Amino acid sequence: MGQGRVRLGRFFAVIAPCVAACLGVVLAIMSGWISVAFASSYPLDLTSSQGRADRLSITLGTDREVTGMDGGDRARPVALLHVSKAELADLCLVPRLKLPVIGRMFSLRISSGRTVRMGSANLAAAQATVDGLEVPHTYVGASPEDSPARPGGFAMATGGERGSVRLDGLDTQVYGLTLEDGMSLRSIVLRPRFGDQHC
Amino acid sequence: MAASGVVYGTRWGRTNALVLIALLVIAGIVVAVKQQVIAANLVFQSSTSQLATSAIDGSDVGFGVVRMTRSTGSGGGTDVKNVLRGGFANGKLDGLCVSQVQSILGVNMTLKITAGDGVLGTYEIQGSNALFDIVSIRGTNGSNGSGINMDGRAQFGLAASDVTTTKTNGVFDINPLEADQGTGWFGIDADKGNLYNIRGTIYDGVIGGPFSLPNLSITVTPGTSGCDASPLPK
Repeated sequence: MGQGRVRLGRFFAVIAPCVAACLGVVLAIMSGWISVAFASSYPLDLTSSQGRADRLSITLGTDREVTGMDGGDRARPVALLHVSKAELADLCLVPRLKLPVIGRMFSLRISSGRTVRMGSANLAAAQATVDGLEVPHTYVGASPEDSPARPGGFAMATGGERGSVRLDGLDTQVYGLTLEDGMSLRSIVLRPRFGDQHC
Repeated sequence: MAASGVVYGTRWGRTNALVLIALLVIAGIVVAVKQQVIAANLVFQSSTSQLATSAIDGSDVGFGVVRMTRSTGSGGGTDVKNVLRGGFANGKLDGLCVSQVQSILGVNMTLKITAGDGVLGTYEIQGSNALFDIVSIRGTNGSNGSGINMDGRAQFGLAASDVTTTKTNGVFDINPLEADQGTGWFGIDADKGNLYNIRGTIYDGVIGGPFSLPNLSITVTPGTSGCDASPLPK
């Protein structure tokens, strides 16, 4: 009976293009060429000790308007937060899911001790608190024109001066997160765990 | 070829076909993700929001009846509403609550935004050149003050276009409320305004910055329980 073996040279020749392509996607995310979206049935914790952004807007909508993805359940009403050119210090993100079959909770704590450049981001927030928010001129009662589901709806939106929005002590739970410009990380700590964990 | 007649080795044609499909899938994902961009343009909302604060302390205050343009909520259309525009050259707020009820997925949901340090009388939210398009406003009695007071030199009944609030190089700006010219557009002008225990409805507001909102909270809850149903923020 014949027995095959792996020809490492050929194996790597086949794998190399795929690895290169995946690394290319990662680099594209890091350089902001493509956006990244997270969606979850369970809310993701997102915290930051301090942050800055060029613009902030708050509207009412659904999580699917942020990710375009089905989080596993029906769409949820959320506060839609949009930030432009955001930089967050001490970013912590905890996505969690219940593993099928075994039924246990699995969570991944992603944290960075350095400032994370997120570019433009959209958050579908179940709730959010900010210890201190400093904003430039602000419109209350403006509405995002690109919300065909709710034309004329409510929005609170700031002007767009560079770095003019300052967030101290951001603490939010989000059902969806879209990073339009990817994410620039200089250091990251990943802590996977069976069971729940928090920022 | 092995002696048994079984052929071993890599079928490069088949392998390359699979690799090509994988690379095309990755490229497709990248293109699909790239196209998911959300733009943001601003128009004024079609319905009103609830506004509440424990107090407003404003200098160079003016109110005038003006016409504002709002979205009709469909097809990008707009219409015109008469509102009372309140202008404050400088203003301090003792707590702030803004809420809005909208139907999401067929269910009434309330977005509520609150801020304040929780201490009465600290006026922790400060801004300049604030304008609010008011549908209704009501000030009531409380331990911190009573109702709506106009202090200093107060004028009632002047044209809304003659109301003064903001200054440029020490000279009052002309028609800061952007009111229509002509008769019937009623205005109130005062050096100072103190408004206590305020609840009202507004179409929109513009607050010049920078200003701070301590302890900002954003919540989304089912139902129609907005700022009117909550204790006054402070």
